[in-house]
Amino acid sequence: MPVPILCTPFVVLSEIICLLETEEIVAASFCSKKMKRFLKCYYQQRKPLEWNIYLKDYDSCGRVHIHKLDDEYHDAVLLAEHVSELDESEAKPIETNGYKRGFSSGLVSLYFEDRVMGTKMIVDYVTDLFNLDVYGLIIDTNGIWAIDWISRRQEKMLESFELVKNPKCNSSSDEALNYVLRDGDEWNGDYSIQRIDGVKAVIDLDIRHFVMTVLPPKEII
Amino acid sequence: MSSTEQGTSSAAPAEPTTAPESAAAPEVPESFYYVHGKDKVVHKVSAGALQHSALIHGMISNLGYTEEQAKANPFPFENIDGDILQMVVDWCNQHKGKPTPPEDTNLPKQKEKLFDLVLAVNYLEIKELLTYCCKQVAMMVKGKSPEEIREIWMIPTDAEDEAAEKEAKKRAGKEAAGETAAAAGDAK
Repeated sequence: MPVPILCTPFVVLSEIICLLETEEIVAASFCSKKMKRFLKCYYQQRKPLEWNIYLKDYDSCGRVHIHKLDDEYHDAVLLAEHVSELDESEAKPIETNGYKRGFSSGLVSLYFEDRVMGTKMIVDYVTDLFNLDVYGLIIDTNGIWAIDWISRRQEKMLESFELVKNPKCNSSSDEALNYVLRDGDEWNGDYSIQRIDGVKAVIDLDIRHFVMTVLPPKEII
Repeated sequence: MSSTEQGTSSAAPAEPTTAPESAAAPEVPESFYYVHGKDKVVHKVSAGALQHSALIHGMISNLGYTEEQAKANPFPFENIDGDILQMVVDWCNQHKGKPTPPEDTNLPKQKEKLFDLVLAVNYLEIKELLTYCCKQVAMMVKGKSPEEIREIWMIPTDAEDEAAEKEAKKRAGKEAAGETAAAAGDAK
């Protein structure tokens, strides 16, 4: 039996939204412009500071994840894939300006001719909806573009970065690492890199996979 | 007010639908209050059960009603359907003096009444029952696509919203024109 939630008082609607999972909120935002506007206003008033947005761009798929601090997992909320990946036999996609929208396993996926442009679009969509910046980046060597793009689009610096090995591509991995570590200093075979704000990280290059997480300064801990 | 004091669970007001008291019941006799909805059927509810409703509890505290006064003047909730009020009263009675468990099996199951129930519970300010009802509404869209969510939550499409907006503008324009004409008529 349908429940016209937009006809319920604001306090009720707020309580319902508060109980939704992040991927359900994103799915609901695609219902109508009015619904998206309402959700956006809701999160402008109640910025979810305990949520961290991650961009994951590897295996030819761009994903936006949200990690809740009280939760162990990163939940994918929106996907961007190349239009060739679209399986139209499952369900007919919704065609909109510039992309097709599909839905499977509880997730909204957008399909683009230009996947990188699509990945940028889903990041803009989710960060705008929740009024948050991108917190972390997880990419393979094909996602190097995202580093500069995120640096340009937001004032807040990335708090977490992970470069994952791309099994399909070896030739460009050194090139990619060199790009990431272009301002780093070699130290005992490892690299020491420093952000503009002085935070340092040492990276062991014996493996083609590193994780760098920036911790708050000691005085904050 | 045509108080019928009959029907549903409160067919005889002397035998309220409240849960039986435990053996160690307090010596002080429990006071009862009376409420009615749109159907005017009066429900007798104990003060303990009514504690769940911040609205009714506030009315009792502020008005200083005695049991006799309350019997003569049941609280009128003309905006709540009789069957919905009955559900709410039953729930309050079942949870008299105890907190609601996370998975409450005594809660109203009728999904078709959920919208009306949400509105009534919100109006009566029954926090725990409102949270449960909202949980039910949120659960309805679990794993659903935007199109399914739009249907379940009756969210108008962009085209429908635009048409409604146009219609509202047109109506407002007509009303404004009517008022101007009336004002001109008065001036003459």
